[in-house]
Amino acid sequence: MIGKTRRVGPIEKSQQVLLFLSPWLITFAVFWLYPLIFSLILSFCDYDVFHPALFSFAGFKNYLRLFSDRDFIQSFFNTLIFVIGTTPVTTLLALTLALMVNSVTRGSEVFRSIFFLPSIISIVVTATIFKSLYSPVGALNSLLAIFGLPGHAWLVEKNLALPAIMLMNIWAYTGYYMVLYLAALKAVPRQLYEAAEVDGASDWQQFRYITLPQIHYMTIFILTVNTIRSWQVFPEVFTLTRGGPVGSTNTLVHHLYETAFRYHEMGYSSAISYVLLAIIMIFSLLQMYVLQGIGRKKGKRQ
Amino acid sequence: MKQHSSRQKGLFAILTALALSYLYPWLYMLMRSFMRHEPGQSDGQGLFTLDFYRLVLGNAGFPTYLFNSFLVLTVVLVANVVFSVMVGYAFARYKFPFKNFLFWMVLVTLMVPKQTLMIPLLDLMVRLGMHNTLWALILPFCVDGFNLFLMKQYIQGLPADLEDAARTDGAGEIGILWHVIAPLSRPAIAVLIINTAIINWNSFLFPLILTDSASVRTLPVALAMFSQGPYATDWGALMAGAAVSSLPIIAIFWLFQKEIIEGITSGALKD
Repeated sequence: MIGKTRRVGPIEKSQQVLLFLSPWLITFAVFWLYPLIFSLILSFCDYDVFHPALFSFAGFKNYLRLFSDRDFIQSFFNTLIFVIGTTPVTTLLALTLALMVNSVTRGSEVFRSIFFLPSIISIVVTATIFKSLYSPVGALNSLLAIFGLPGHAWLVEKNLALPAIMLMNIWAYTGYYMVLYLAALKAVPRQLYEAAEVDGASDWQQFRYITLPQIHYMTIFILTVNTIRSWQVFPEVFTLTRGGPVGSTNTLVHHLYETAFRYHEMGYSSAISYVLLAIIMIFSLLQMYVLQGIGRKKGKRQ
Repeated sequence: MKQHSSRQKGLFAILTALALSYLYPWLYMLMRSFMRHEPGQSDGQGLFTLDFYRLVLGNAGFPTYLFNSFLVLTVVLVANVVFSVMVGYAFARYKFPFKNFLFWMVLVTLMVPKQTLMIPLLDLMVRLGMHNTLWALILPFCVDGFNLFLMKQYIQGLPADLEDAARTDGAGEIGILWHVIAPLSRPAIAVLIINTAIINWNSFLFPLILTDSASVRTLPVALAMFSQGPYATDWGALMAGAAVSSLPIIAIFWLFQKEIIEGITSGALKD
């Protein structure tokens, strides 16, 4: 042979592509597409994985049942309260922490690490620690006692359990979003601030008219990602309260888990999972739409 | 200048106070796990003991859970690195039919909540006889849409000269993949490893539903079960369990915090 170039025929090449794509094609078909379709079918059936013989078609029964199932309605509103109560707080707190960590001259990286740490530790570990802090003889009540305030059984009292889980969740995840905000803050061009300072802009004006618009993209990203994550809250509920007391911390995914694995109504739980899918899809598409819009605007400006 | 430094002092003080509220739970966990308390004694008064760690690492079976978590993580990491480079390369460099549609599907898989797939997946594992084995925790997680996206974007940004040179030298496509693409993609692979490791190590819902027996349990599920069993209010035992579950990660975090934080951020910034 004279030339070193190896000519690759079209058939050989398409085999190559297929080989390279195969891990994903198989995983996609077996562990994503098939379950997604089967789940939709199940939502119109009565089914239990562990007694597959009792399979029967149920029509819209499972979906109609959602409207009369008090536990489902309660879990939906509990999750809604959880999302509305945590997402804005976590985001605002993350931004505040990021601004402070970004401008402190001493120990900036140490602070960043301390705030970030909880977000890479399993939420089950965090929940286990907070279970002890929240106990009637725990640290939170001791702290309140110092200020002369009465203690509570935080995870046992009906009106306090959900807020207690929300507070823990905010503690656990703020650092993650703070780190994202820090990256966004670092990317703001320094000249903008220098120019503003020359023009005599106050700190607030600089924040309002430079920082905030410049990190707009990250804010939208954090709000949507955070919202999507919060709709799926589960491990902390499972670890701390199992949905109790009297359903006051029952969330959508926890209810889904209970109907499937406690009551073995897997058709019905598939219907619940499609409600969750619809909610998450709305926020995902919203995110895509808004971020693309911002991207396009930025592209035009440049 | 003076005003500036007093402002820095105030900022430092607020951050220190907040940092203490963030450190307290970890210190509490450690303190409580090493101290035995008689009824009525407050937090600071206990006597030093290793009994709780003996319990957790002995009868409570945490070494098994640690091993299971570690084994699952190792296999899932290796698979994700190999497959993401392969698939990412195909999407980045080849032309093939339905390419845009298939890549769009990669992104769609990221939007669907895993809970929707949970029951059919359990059903499948029961049918395949893999329910209650570690295979159930490995196979569905060997390829991940986010990692494919990450690798495809990265490989697309690499200059094609080196591949062409290798091709001229007679290297096959697989040779190019391993000797040219993989080494050049090291920064992206590091991000992939960090993200996948954190998600997999902390994974809870699927290990909870796909396994029943303690012998195949992973750490987060084991800890959740432990905190509901006979030791539900034995704070010393629970804190020792929490410490055993989190200290490996805390140690790794202190060693690689810079890389971890960069990895997490670049995941969000890649758009």
